[in-house]
Amino acid sequence: MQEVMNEYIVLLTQYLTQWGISPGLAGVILAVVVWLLLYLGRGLGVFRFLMRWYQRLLLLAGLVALGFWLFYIGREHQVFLDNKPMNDYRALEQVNVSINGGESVEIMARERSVKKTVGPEFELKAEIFDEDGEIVDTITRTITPKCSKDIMINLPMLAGGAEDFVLPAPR
Amino acid sequence: MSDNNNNAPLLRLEHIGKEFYGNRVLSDISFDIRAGEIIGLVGENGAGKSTLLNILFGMPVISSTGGHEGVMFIDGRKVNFTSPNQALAHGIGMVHQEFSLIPGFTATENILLNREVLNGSTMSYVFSDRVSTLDRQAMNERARAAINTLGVNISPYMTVSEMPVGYKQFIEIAREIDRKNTRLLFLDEPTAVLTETEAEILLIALNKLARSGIAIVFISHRLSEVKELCSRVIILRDGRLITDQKAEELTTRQIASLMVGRESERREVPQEIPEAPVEPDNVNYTLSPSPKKKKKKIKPALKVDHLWVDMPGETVRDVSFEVKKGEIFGIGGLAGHGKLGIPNGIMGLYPAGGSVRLSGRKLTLNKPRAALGRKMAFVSEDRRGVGLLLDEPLDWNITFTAMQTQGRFLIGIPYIFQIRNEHAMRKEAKKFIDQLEIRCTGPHQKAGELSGGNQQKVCLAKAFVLRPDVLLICEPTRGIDVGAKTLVLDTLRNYNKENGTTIIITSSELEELRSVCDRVAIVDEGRIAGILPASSPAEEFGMLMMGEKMRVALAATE
Amino acid sequence: MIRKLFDIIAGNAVPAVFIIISAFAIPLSGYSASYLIQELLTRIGRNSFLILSLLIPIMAGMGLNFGMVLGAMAGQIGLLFICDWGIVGIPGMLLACLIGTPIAIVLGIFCGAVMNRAKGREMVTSYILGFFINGVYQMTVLYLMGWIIPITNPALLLSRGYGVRNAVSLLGIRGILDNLIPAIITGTQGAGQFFSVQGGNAFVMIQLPFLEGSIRIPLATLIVIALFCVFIVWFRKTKLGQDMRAIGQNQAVADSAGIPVNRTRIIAIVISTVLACYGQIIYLQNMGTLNTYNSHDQAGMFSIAALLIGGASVSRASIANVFVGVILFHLMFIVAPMAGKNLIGEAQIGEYFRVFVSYGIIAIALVLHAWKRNREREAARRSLRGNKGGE
Repeated sequence: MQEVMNEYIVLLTQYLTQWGISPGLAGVILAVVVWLLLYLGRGLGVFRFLMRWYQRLLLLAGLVALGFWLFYIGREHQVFLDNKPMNDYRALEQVNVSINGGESVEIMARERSVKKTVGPEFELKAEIFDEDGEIVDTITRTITPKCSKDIMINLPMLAGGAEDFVLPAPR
Repeated sequence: MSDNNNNAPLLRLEHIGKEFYGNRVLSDISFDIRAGEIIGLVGENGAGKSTLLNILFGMPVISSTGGHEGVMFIDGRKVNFTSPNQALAHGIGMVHQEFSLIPGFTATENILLNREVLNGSTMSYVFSDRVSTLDRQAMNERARAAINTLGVNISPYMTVSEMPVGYKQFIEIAREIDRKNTRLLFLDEPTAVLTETEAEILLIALNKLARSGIAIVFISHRLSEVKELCSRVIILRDGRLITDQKAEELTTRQIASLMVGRESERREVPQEIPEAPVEPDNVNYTLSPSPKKKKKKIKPALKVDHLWVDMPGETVRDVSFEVKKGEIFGIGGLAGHGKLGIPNGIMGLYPAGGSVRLSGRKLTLNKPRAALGRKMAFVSEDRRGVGLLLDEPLDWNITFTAMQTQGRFLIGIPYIFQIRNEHAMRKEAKKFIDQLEIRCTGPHQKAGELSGGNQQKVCLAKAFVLRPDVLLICEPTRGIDVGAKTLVLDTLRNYNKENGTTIIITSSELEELRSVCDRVAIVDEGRIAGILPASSPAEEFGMLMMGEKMRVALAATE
Repeated sequence: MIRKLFDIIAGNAVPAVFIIISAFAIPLSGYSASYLIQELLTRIGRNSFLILSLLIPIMAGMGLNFGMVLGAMAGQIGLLFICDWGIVGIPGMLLACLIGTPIAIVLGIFCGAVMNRAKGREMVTSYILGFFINGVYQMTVLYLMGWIIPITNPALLLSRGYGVRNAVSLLGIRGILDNLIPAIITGTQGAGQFFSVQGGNAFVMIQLPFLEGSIRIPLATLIVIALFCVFIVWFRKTKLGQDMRAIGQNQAVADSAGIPVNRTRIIAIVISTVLACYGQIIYLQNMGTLNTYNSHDQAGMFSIAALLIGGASVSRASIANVFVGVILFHLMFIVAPMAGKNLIGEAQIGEYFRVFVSYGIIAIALVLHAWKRNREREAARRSLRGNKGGE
């Protein structure tokens, strides 16, 4: 019985994605359909009762979801910008970093700086200078710290093209 | 519905009984009520009426004291109510003696209290219907419909606090009528606060209601109304059902004697008997005749000049009169016209002005202590509120005022160290319990446990203990049964005769005043309309009281 | 006619006294109009919501009660959590409200249940209950937070590793609602000054040539308060509101009509605590710092004082009372210290004056309230007798 159900769910998901409906949207549609059914049957006492609890459940679920969403979009992160050698990457001479198009900070070799951002993702723009003060490279990356509070970005790794340049924040 | 249920009476009681702490108050009550019937339920106070009602309504008082005996059936189905709401759900409505209206609300809001018409609301699911807004227009229409059923003209927008007392009674009844499922309506003394015309309108309205299929149980001390309105009369006495008979088969006189039972030889207050027209000279009192002949020119015991009293609902505007020493002076008039305000104002219970002279010396107003100090005593119309300490024993109640104002029943050195003389208190209490035939278990019983008539006797005893020169009594017979009434009036008359005490009686029952008093003053709209000797014909008093209204009422009785 | 006028003044004796005092104190303080208006607007935005939360229990006949202090504590707990998690801006405020709500509901139910056992003495009961819950709150915040309740932000915790610091900076949500919709009233002179501060992108800008300086309006906060007023107006029209009015006037009658009295009273208190929770969050976003152990202390006392000054009584309070009250109360707060200083010339007198005024105000308001009630009673009696009788 369970297997049949699982199979059915898998099939349903596939079918829905064909039409461009994500599981989340499907949940919303399902909620609306149940609502409609209960609304149509509102003359019956049982349906009234069910509707009440259904709506309360929806409201509660909505509020919890709202809470998570607020947590997600409202979280302030400290982004440590680290210009120290890491693994095989050498420290850069000078990097100017700006986050979300804000004021840029100069970070010299072996220096560390910190910036604050709000929200699940931010755009980081790093201008890398050589010894002569010429811009050799400009890197723009969108970084998603998601729900982790603070992160550290190792700029040499970023410049060197490594993928794991996002490190946990220092203690 | 099966045939069985159609034939079943609306309400059937079988062997209902009740004991309170070993005191049997009801035993073996069985009767049926059918749709559209009007039943008169009569009985003295303490006969068990209120207990019966409490059982029918599932009042917590019953279940918390061990429930009741016997069973009730509604539509042939056994029911057992544990809360008033269950009774309401079964279509039993009740109009109480005390108004249960919210003063700041309009008629509509009161009639539809907790049954408001609501607009639909999407939020009503998530929370409850209580977050829906009220549909004022629909509510007003429903209220108007309910009021119209009663045949009176009251605006649904009128605030209850601004209404005359009679209107409030109608609003109460309209509230029960509006309840769609009401099939059985209990009315507890509904006409007590109404004027004659209002009472008549109410009786007509009740007849109309009964014809629409609602069964009505009418509880009243006014036997003539019971006789006029009801198809059946049920009489309770000492917790037993004495009679359950068609109303035509009984005269009011019979009803009264069945009610009183033990005192059946004694005749009732004539006002209860429409067959004997109100003619004072024909009134047959077994009581001793009042000392009318002894009138002499003596200086007034009490002289009242331009008295005004701010008593809510009983405002006195400008009253002047004189009471002679040793006289029994009556103050009558319709409810709400200020007759109760006069004694209350003289005793200082409500803000008052003007001048009151007691044997020629001016009395300080607004100070009850001053009035008591001048050897005046007062029996309040509000027995349970002002008159008695309900949670205290009888001997306390009887001697309390004397102890406080005259320093009696105390041992020790005055002003320094005094204790109660329990023995003397008990002795005094016992004396009055015997003298006034107060039915109780002894001086230690709590005043709150007595029935209305006996509480009234305790109030009288309390006043007598003070050995007053002037005794003011308000509504001595209000809400007490026929037997107790005569006893109370007898007591007053005897006390006056024996001690020469000046007595001022305020009462709504004109006949009672005329039978006891030497002179009767009639109060109308806060003023004295006139003072007549008690022997004057009833019509004259009637004219003084209300003019037109009274004339109509008199015409109706003839 | 003169009598009628006197009755109007006497009927509003409490606000009248404060208007008169203010009329003397304003010129003495020497503050400019724009400064006063700015301060008043700020304080209206800061305090109105808290005071409005008192209205519903009054409607339900529960008198002026300190149940709202419990709500304020709930709001503070919500704020502590968002500080720890680092949620900022409007989402932070909303999340704090969301966290505070269930706590406020639980506290409200508890408070309501206690008050149902102390009917008629709600004011003092809730006051003492506030102390008791304050103890529970302090235990939670001082011992449990960082130990059992996870709080990790070292900026919040005492150096010993558990317990929250006395002063918590709310930099993340400071002024966030007040400045959400930038709005300004400016005189011609003040405009330039303002633009340099704000970057010149005010959403609403009104120019009043006669005004000196400029006034910033906490527009979004005022809109939230307006919405709250609409809520109260709507609430009065609902069945629940009607039931509360009925209970407020006569509990016994409401009970016999089948209205669930105790339940309704609890609902009234719960609404009050939840709204006070939001009110405290709005208050603290304006202040910008949370005094963990004191911020809620004065919330109840000051709100009640302001409401009384607005002409409310123990049994009746309207939205107008709230705004009149908050304006008069805070006008006194602003001008009294300065007026005192200018009058007596002592710098410290201001602080003394402030304390003196705030507590004196409550005492005066309660006394005047009692006097007013007596007058009303007398008038009611006189009206019964009519004008015909002798006096």
